[in-house]
Amino acid sequence: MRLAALFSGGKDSTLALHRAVELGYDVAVLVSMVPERGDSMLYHVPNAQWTALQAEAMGLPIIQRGVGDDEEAALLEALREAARTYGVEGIVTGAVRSTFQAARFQRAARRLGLWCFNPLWLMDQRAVLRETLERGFKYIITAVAAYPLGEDLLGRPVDWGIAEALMGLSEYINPAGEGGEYETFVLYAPLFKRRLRIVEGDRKYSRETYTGEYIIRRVVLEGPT
Amino acid sequence: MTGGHVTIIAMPVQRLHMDEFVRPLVDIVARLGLAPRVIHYAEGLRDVEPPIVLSGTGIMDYAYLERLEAFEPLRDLEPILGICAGAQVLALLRGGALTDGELIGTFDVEVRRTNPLLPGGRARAYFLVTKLVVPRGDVEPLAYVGENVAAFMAGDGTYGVMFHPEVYNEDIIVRFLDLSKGRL
Repeated sequence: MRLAALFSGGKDSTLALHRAVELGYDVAVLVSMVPERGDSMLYHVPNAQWTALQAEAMGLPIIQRGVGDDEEAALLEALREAARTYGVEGIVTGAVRSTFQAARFQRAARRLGLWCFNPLWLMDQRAVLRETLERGFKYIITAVAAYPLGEDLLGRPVDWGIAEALMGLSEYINPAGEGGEYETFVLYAPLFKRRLRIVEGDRKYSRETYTGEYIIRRVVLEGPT
Repeated sequence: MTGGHVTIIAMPVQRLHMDEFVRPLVDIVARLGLAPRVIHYAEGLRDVEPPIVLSGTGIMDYAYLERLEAFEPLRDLEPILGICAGAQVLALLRGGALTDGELIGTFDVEVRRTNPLLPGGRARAYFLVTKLVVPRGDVEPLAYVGENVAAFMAGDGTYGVMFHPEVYNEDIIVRFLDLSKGRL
């Protein structure tokens, strides 16, 4: 079956895409929603514009759509284009626990007559973290939005040490960040033919709200073309 | 609750749906110290043993409705719990019917009949369903979402829930397995 992957650039949607490909599904295109507002309930926000470079690294086409107030309408339009242009019959998403997010993806797919797959659904959050690292994913933390996650994490690559620390905070946060406690950006995963290298980035952090972002200013592709 | 086997009948026709609709049930059963045995309905259900949980499947997947004969071996087996697509099959086996109707997302479920599986009052539940149960034959409604049947029983040990209890109502699965203790 030919699929479109709803792709935020973070670890969860990247993992879901890998699961689909491994099971023999033909992921023909990525669909990436780029929120115009920072408080999007539906989409992962920081650095969403760089998903085009991740798509290039994987050798996949991408449909990027700006999202204003009507997030569901924008999603429908993007999926309609994926179905029309690439002949996809379904979508695969990285939804793990959010019924708000999952229900909207399900409804959009249903309206367009597309299958909807959420292979990480209800997966243990620690298992998500472990699986990404075991598969050799390289990713950084691009946003934090919960105590006690601090400024020091912004831009940091997630390695086993960071993962253990996040898992140890499960009393305070969802260890995989599914509740928006933190966001990630993938620089490399097994389906990437090339790696991304961040050349320049800025941190913004508020000690009052325990929220911050790592904004990627310049990133390049490295490795064989 | 430790040691016994629980049969989980997988309903998805697509492999990519197995992790979404079957794996969460396997995880719950395993967390309870029980041994999940997963079998897909297309493999043949002649030798399955209760207690049995029939999973749900994706919205575009209606293959099970074209293979109803595969579920005939379940006709007299109890205890058995059907979830969404699984509940649709149980309703059809017990004389009920289906009607088109879409419920996608989180809705309030109201329990209107005292029963051993569902606590009284209201609870939120996650639905992913486009075919609803019409109570006929042995199908007796226990709970409603609006005026639609959200849960039913059909015999002492046959239950169907149109929502996905693995999302917000794991206690229902735990209670079902607890009610099945004599079979574990």
